Order: sequence, then C-alpha cells, then structure tokens
Amino acid sequence: MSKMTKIISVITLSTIMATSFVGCGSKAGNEKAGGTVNVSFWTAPQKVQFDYWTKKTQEFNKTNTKVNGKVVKMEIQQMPETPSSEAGIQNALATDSAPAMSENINRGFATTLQAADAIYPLEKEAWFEDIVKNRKLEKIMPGWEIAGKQYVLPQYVNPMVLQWNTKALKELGIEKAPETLSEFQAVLTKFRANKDKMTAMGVSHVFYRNSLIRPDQWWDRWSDFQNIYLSFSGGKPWVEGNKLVLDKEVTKEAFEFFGALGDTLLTSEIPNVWAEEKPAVLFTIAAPWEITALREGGKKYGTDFTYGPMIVKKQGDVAYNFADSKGLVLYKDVNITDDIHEGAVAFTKWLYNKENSAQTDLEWLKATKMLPVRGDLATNQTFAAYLKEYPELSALAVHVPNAIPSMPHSKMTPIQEALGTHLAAYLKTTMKSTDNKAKDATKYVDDAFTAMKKAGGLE
Amino acid sequence: MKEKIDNLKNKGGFLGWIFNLPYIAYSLIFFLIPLIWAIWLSTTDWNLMSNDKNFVGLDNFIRLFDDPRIIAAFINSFRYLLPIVILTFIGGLIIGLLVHKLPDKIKGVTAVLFFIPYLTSGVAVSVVVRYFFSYNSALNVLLRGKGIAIEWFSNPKTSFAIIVAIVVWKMSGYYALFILSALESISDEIHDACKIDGAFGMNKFIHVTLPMIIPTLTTVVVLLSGLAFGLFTEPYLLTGGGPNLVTTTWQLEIYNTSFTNFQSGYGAAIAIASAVQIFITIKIVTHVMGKLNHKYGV
Repeated sequence: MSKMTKIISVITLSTIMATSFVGCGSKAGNEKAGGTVNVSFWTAPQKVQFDYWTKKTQEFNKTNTKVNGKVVKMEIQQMPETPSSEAGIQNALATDSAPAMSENINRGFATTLQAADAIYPLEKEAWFEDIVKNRKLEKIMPGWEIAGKQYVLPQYVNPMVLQWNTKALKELGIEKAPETLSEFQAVLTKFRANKDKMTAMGVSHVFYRNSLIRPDQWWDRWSDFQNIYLSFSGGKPWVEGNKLVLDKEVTKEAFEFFGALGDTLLTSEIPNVWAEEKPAVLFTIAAPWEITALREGGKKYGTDFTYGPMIVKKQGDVAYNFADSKGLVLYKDVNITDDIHEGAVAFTKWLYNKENSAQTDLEWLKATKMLPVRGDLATNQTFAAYLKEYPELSALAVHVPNAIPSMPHSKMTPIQEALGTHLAAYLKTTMKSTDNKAKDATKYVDDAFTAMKKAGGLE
Repeated sequence: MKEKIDNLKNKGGFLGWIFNLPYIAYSLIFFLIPLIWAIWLSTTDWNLMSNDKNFVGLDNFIRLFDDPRIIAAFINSFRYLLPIVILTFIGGLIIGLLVHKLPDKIKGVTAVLFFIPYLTSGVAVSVVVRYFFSYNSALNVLLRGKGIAIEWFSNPKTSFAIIVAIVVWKMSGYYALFILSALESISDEIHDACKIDGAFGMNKFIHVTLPMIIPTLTTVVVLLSGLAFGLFTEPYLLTGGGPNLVTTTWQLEIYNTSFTNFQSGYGAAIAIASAVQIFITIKIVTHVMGKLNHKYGV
C-alpha cells in the first residue's frame, strides 16, 4: 500500500468517525470558562407553555443569579415528541442527554422516572420546604408521594369535572346539574322520554366519550373510569405499592355507570363538541384547557355550559375527582454536573420564593387558564380579581381539594390499558341498549382484574 | 502506461473498499450496530431509562406467544396483506393501462396527478379521513337523515376497510408508475406485430402485454407485500389498533410497547419477531412470483 493510499484511508476513516458522532455532545447544559453555567429546561410541547417559560427564563437570566461563582443561564426548548413527550425524555435519558429540569411530568410518569433513579428526591431539601410553605402546599403534597418521598413540584391542576349543556338541561326542566346517582338516572329517564324534543335542538345523545372504546388511549381512563371510581369509592386508590387495591364492587359500579347509558353514549368522533352551535350531547368530561377557545367561540359559562361535580352515589358523599396535574422535576444524568443541577435549583427557588411565588402562579393562570397548585388559591388576594373575571375557573377551583392525581406505579400505562380493554369490551355489549338498566359487568371486571395484575405484575 | 493500468487493477480490490467505505460505514452505524443492539436489548428487561438492565434470556420471545396483542398483530398483518396487495395491484394496473392509452401530450401530467396521493402526508390524510367520518360530517348527517347511523371507527369491518382504502388510494398511483414504465418499454414493433397477427384487446393484453411486464409486476407485488407489514400512521391516528385489536399492526405494537409502556426490551423482541415474519413472507412471495415469472414471462 502506497503512502498516499494510507493517508487517504486514514483521512476517510477519521472523517466518517468524526461526522458519525457529531451531535452526541451534552444537552443538559454546559459550564463555560467565562463563569457561566447553562441549564437546559424542557417545556411541554405546547406553544402557550413554551411562551410562558420563555418569559420566565428571560426574567431569571436578567437577575444574574450565581451558583458557585458562576452565572446561571437558563436555556429552554420544547420537549421533543419522539414520538411522545415521555418517549422524548426516555430517549434523552438513554443517550445521556437529559435536560437538567422539565415541566409536564405527572405522578405516574414520575414514578417510572423514580424507579429508574432518573430524578432527584426533593422532600429533604430546605428550598423545597420553603416552596411548599410559600404555596401553602402542606395538605396537597401527601397526594404526590411516590414510595414515601417527593419527586415532583406540582405546578398545575385541572380537577376533572363534568361539563353540562345548560340549554338542553333547561329544556328537560332541570335547573341544576345532577350530583347524585339518582339525580343522574332521572336525567337519563327524562332524556329518553323527551327524545324528540332533544333531537329538535340537536342533542342526539347524553354523553360523548369517543375514547371510552379506545383502550390505546389509556390516559383517558383518568378522566372517565377513574373519575367515577373515585367519586363512588370515596377517593380510594387504584394501586398501593405493588398491590392492586381497586375495589372490585365499586369498579363494577363504575363500569355499569357507563353501561347504563346504553345507546345514549356517543363514541363517534366529534372534533370539537362544544364548538358546535348546538352541541350534540347533554354532557362531556370538562376540558378546562379549552376555556379560552370556548370564550372565543362565544360560549358563555352558565348560559351555554356549566360545570358539575363527579356523580356521587348519595347525597353528602364527597365528589372526589381525578387531578389532571403535572409538575416540575429535576433530572439525574451523567451529563448533569453539580453546578448545572444547582443552577436548576436556583431557578426553581427564584420562581417560587416568598416574593415571586404568587406572581409566578398568577402569570401561569393567565397564560394557560390552568389552575396553579396552591393551597391558598381561593383565599389569596393575588388571584381574586382574575378568578372573578373567570367564573368557570372559580367553579373548577372549588373541586381542587378533592382532586387526586394518577396512580404512583411505574407500570401505570399497561395497567390502565388493561382495564380500558375490558371496559371497551363491556361497552360493546351495552351500546345498543335502550333502557337505563345496565347489563351485569361482573365477568368483564373479573377479566380486567386478571389483566391488570398480569400487565402490572401486581399482587 | 500499461504498467500503470495493471498496477491500478491490482489495487482494484483495495480501491473498491475505499470507495465502498462510506456505504459500509453507513450500514454499520445505521443497520448492523442497531440490529446487534436490538438483539441484545430483546434479551433484557431494560426500559432505556433505568440503570438496571437485567438479562432475561428468551423470556421476551416466549411471552410473544401468549400476548393477545401480538397474536392480533401477527394475524392482522396477513389480513392487511391480502386486500392491500390485490387491490393496489389492480388499481395500479388499471391506472397504468389507462394512462398508457392517453395521448403523449397529457400522459406525463396525468401520471403525476395519480402520483400525488403518494406524496401526501399520511398524517394529513388520516386527519382529513377522521373529519370525513366524524359524527357531524356531511356524510354522516346525510346518512342519519336517511335513518342510517354508522359508527365507522367503532365497527371492526368499516374501520379495517377504511384503513385499507386509504393505503390503496395512496399507493395505487405510485405503483402505476412502475407498470406504466414497463408498458412504455414495449416497443412499437411488437404492437405492430400484434396488429398483423390479429391480436387485439384482452387477447393482446393477456398473451402479449402481461407476459412482457411480468418482471415489473413481480417487483410491484413484492414491494406491496413489504408495505402491508409496515402500516403505522393510519391505524395509529384513526383507530389506535381497535376496536378489539382488529386494526392493530406490528409497528403499532412495537411503538406502544417501547414508547408508551416503556418495555423496550420486549418491544425489541416484537420488532425481531415481526422482521422474521416479514422475511419469511417476502421470501415466499418472491418465490411464487419468480415461478410465475419463469412460467409466463417473456
């Protein structure tokens, strides 16, 4: 081999190797010689949240906060959805390129991250205790425990309630959204008895829930099955440790609650049911993040729609509901140095210190219309004016104390998918029924329990 | 001069390696290493995040035989294969023959028009189809007016048929181009000879045209078979694999297992199992088409 050929070979190989590994560098941030520590922060893949965090990080960067003599500079980007935001984080951890911190983490996924030792425990940190105090979270934090520790700083909560078609209810002679099972059954009976009247005003069904028969949309079990289960059971958990503690009898009642809807359950997709001039149903699960869109569409709270609590079995029961709630976590990864981690902590402390915490949460509320997780949301004067301006938000805030986050189990997804599969199979047998009496769901519930135990490796 | 050329020839092997190096490196980095990594991953219970990577041997593969989702994906891959291959083949053949008959001036433009669905994003098409079949769509309002209420994506037959229809619509124009190019390659002399021999219409098509384009048709059928195993976008966006798993696919299960349920080791095992099924099926299809080609081709 000539010398020239050897040189060409070495250059070619080196180029290939070098270009192959471009982009494999650190992503969590870096420490520059000039005394700056760059801290990466991933926001939810939503523009409204990205815009909010852009503003907050810019404000923070202007404070020139230092850790270990270095200026902290926050750098934000949206979570890559490759293909989902959770998978984006999974990829980042697998390739040692996780951010120093992110928002958009629910308790269930946090449990998966905790089991992988990928996030920091927070409960023993003095700064975390200060934030809990500043935001009056003392009574709320136990609901966020994972294996006896705290890993998530809760940020917002959407208590999942029912959204009722006010005009249609009035047409049926009902002034107030039903709260108990007997009131709900009365609505069903009246709907069937007034089918023609309802059809004339465009209401063809009682309840719209496209995803009830989509087990793959496992996350929607939070808003339908779990909601009803929580209100029927008095807030009982689904899983404790590695044990399936779901109450079988109440699960059957929850299945049959949906089964009793029979042919009044609408599962064909409606792209935006409440945007229609005449919504086709009496009620849906509320989506608080649509408040802005509803207002822009000319829908008035109290006139066109109203929020009602989850249906309870009898008068006096507490209407527990599912908390669609997410928060901030701090990641552990080989590319996250102590300085980068401390930079992320400094940013979190700045966000929610005594001076800033209420303002940070108010700005969040204004930007996203999602309720910040605070123990004093209803009493703190910082929020009073804004909540008065948005009565629908005030109506939701009432349900925050009874809102329970998702199950703390690393196999939450397959567990919920297993339940959803058997709930969908049961509903296939009920969706043509024309009376209000539900078919017996015992077999489907038994199958769901077997499947959940298998899917989650539960006892 | 001659000496220099001989010298280069002697070094041909080495130079060949040099010129092939980029492709070899590409294949190593993007195919071989990931394949070996996937095989290793399939023998673990790793979720890509945890520090624990437990070796589970063949457990993930044994689990496949007892998983209703995987059994459904396996069966569905053949359920998709038949209609997609047959209908797209027929669609492509009809389009190819029709365009072939057009005057040269508009032939190119027409072929491109049929090709456009292939260029359309599967996501965009699926979203449009979702709206088209949604509860308040013009179609459904019209049908309900006539007393017909169909829940398109809740019904196993209609949901499966819609996915097949989208794929057939999307791919027919693409494969028509293959067939069109084969038809165009038949020389005028052969057409003239047919006229002299009195071969016209179906007679000419079956005994002259078809045998001459069989090699292309073989390629089309083999490629279509591969396509039927790679479905993801349409079932993901329209049905999520339901109702009752009738529309699920290998790709959907690999995605859900690896990135939704975070069982990446098991996901890798599913991917390898699907690759084996695809390999065997394509081998059989290629073998059968090769025989047909040999027997009827020119």
